[in-house]
Amino acid sequence: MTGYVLRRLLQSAAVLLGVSVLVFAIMQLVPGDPVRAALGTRATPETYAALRERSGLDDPVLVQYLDWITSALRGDLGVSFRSGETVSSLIVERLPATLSLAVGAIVVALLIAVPLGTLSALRPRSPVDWFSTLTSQAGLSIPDFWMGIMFILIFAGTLGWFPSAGYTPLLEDPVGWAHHLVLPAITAGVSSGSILTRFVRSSVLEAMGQDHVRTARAKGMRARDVLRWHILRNALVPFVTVGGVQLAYLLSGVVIVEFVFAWPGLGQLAFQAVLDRDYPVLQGAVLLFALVFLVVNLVVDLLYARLDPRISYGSGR
Amino acid sequence: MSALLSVRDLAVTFSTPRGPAHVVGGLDFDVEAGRTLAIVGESGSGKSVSSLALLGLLPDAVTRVSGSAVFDGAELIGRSEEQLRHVRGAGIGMVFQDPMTSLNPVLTVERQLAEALRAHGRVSAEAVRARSVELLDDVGIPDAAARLRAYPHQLSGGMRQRVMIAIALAGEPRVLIADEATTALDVTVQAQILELVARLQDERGTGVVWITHDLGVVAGIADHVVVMYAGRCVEEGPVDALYARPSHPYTRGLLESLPVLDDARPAREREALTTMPGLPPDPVDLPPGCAFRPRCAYRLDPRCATQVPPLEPVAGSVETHRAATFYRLPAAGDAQVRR
Repeated sequence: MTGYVLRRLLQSAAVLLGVSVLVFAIMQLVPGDPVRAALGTRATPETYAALRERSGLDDPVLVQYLDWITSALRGDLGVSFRSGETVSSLIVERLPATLSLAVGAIVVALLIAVPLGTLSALRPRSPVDWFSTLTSQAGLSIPDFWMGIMFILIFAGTLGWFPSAGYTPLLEDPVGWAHHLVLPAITAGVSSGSILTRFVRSSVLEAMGQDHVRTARAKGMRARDVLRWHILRNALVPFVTVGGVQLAYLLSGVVIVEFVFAWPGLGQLAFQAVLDRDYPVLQGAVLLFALVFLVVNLVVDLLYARLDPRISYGSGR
Repeated sequence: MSALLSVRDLAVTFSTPRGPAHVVGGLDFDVEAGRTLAIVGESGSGKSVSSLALLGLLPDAVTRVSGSAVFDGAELIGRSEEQLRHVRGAGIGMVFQDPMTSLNPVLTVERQLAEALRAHGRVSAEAVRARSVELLDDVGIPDAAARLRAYPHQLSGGMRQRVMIAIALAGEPRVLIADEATTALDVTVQAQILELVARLQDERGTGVVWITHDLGVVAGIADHVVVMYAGRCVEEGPVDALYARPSHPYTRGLLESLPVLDDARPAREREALTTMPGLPPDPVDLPPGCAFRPRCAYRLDPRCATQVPPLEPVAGSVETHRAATFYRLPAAGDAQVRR
């Protein structure tokens, strides 16, 4: 087990290195001069030259990359061209908002997907199944920005139940935090929930068809115990993978939802960095997203072994 | 002797996209305490479906079951799910064919046994544990206490099948239905399991229904045999009478296709193993008349094509030996089939 984790960590490091090369290369290929963009057109040639020098942009590409990656390893992702703050402090600043939104959205997604998917699997081709198919299709088809705007119009505007935008840190004001979180979390959670509903349905259907479910019924177990211990318990194994991917996706910043709700998360940070050609920030953000995916995948794989005893990560694999 | 389980005119129909499939029709059988009934037939002959139908274990939405099945004085067909639940496990226990897939791979043996013990009333944790060890001992699993913590994939096929039997016995059922319970196992393990069931049957007086396609097994364990073809009983009788004078062409075909292991003749002098040409009919599209007619070598009677032959006593055999064929065997002697 420890051996497996170590091996996976090494693999993750290699993937991360690859991502860093890719990210760096893409930045080199993007047209436009970041220093020019950062300073505007009216900067003196001296200022321009000074910033280029300070940013190391006059060094050979390989030296630039090595500089960047060695400092990244020490947690120093450079300084934003735009604001002059360090990239790591910008990320740390945005992290709580993104975490809040991701957790809120995955909770919404699960609240939609688990009951709806299970019910429609238990009664295929029933009205519940039709309803679930219809709503998940709708949830997938309606664009996030439109749903967000509609929510703002209805629940923030007309009804005035929730604030239309903004974020309050959890530690400062828990009630305000929750209040602000509701609409963005639902908006981001609906599409994930729609994907997951389809998936819950198919994994529950598959689990229901297994021979051991028949064994459980033949024992004389109560229907709800069969559902809980022999259907849902087994459907959890494939579900964890897709659930993990959705969580990783939400954690790496839901750009559009953050934008609509003026949510100060990582998605907005990355998006703004693209507009500003703020390379250090963008590189840092992309590297972080890659890291999030790797960590979530590793956790999913370890969860697998907990959920399904047939999977072992020993040396015999 | 009065039967523990008495099935009359059982019929099962599945609705399929191509129309209704008549999987079982007009099936009668009795299960008596301490005796073994064997239901024999090839895949798709309806032998498993009939036992699942008794316990309401077929998918409700697409299944229609009719007829009667009286267990312990009460009718099973048409009873509610909750009423049937009390019969399952406690009244009628089932051992399923494939021990690889019939146990839940993600739960321990202990948990799966405990579920069976707890399904019919409150039992203390200590009692469940003690009884679980006892059950595994009973079915011949060595080091039972340690095996309880195992997951199914950590056990061999034979061990898993023993666990399945232990689970089926946990509710102390009066009838045990073993559906191809030894088919997936090698011969030595199969023999051990057969012995085990026979012993439990002696000790507890359990009535056993042994569902199989293996006539070799049947000869060794059954008291009474029902041969099924295309969802119907084509021949039934006490095991000795049926093997001595197999009267339906299908039964004879089955018996002739058994290899003889102790054949002393050199290989080139032995007759090739007989096979039956053709396949069982499609239950959605059963042929008119006798369902076996297309494969039958003796379809001389004109009624074969128009009437389903009724089960009638076999001439020259015991009274309870009946066959559903218009073909009449010639007098005893030349019809003798090796056993």
